[in-house]
Amino acid sequence: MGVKFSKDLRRVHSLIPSIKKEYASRAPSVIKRAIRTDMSAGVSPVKGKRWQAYSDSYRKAIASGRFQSSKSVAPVNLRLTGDLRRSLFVRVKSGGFFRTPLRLEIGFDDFKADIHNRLGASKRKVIRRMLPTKTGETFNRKITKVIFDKLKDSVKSVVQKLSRR
Amino acid sequence: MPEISKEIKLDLTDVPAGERDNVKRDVGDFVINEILRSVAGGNSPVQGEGKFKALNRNYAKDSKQGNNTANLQLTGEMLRTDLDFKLTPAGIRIEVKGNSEDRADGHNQLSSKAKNWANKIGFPKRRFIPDGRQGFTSAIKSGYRGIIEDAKVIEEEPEIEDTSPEPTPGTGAIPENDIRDTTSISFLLSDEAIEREIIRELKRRGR
Repeated sequence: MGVKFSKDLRRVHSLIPSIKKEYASRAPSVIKRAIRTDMSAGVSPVKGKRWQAYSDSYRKAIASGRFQSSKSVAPVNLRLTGDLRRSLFVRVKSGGFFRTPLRLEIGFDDFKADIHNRLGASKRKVIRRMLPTKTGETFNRKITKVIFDKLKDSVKSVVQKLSRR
Repeated sequence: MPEISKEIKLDLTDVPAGERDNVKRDVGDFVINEILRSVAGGNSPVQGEGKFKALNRNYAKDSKQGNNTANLQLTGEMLRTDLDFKLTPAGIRIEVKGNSEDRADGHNQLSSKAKNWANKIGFPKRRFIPDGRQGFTSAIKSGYRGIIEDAKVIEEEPEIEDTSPEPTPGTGAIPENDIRDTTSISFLLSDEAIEREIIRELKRRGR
């Protein structure tokens, strides 16, 4: 016989730590992939922001083979050495047993992230937003959906495991 | 100049009037991003158009570092600067303006002039703006419908009666600490949000 949960909020609360654990183990890689995929396609991970095209001079420099041969003129993917992409981290912080809110930390360890995201690249100081670090900014729809869909998946998985018992 | 545009009509009846323009902007932003995502992978965002024909090997070698995926981005101007959206009374209009209109027409072949030109020289159609009868792919459509759904006024969910036993004295909840990190981007996925999801999932399973 199954345990009745539907109105027993204490039992509902008792599932939360397992869900947080599940989320912490599953979500980071998926979120990271979603951000990297968007960057590869030249889509800003930040809602409402567009990455502008490379300047003529930079495009010419790429075309002349000044950089690695794999560097492409378009789409604008901010990829030259790959260090920036590799430095992306997604961490889930959660108190687990204690009722600390689930918290995501997303960032880049590479110094170039701050140049693109805040300071501005090249003489023209072109800003290409990669993370929603300003008040009021959020991730774009797709990434936000991945973040919350993963939470739904974790809930499903924990509830499913419980149902099998 | 050819008109390279497509209006997307949106049913915003159940969206509060003050929110409608914001929803239109969200949809516009989403569709533009989806076009960029599709095209970057050499796929058309237009229903029924499928994958773009690969680039000619010599052209790819000369102009695209040997990459023969047609991503319609030689300089980036057409998709990065000139592709945009505007709000219309019925929804939004995705359009290409500025210097890239002719180039965009050549790829999309929406005008009869562009069709004739393409037929003559055998230039492949790589459409990223639907014509009058076409729409965007179903994934894009369901994406922007989701944005509208999220913005609709929803009826309050019925309150859940808590039938859990009375708490034992001295076992109250531990207060939450605000451990927001000001140096990194953080998302708070609250316990209340998780609780809502659990209840939804239990309801879905008829538990």
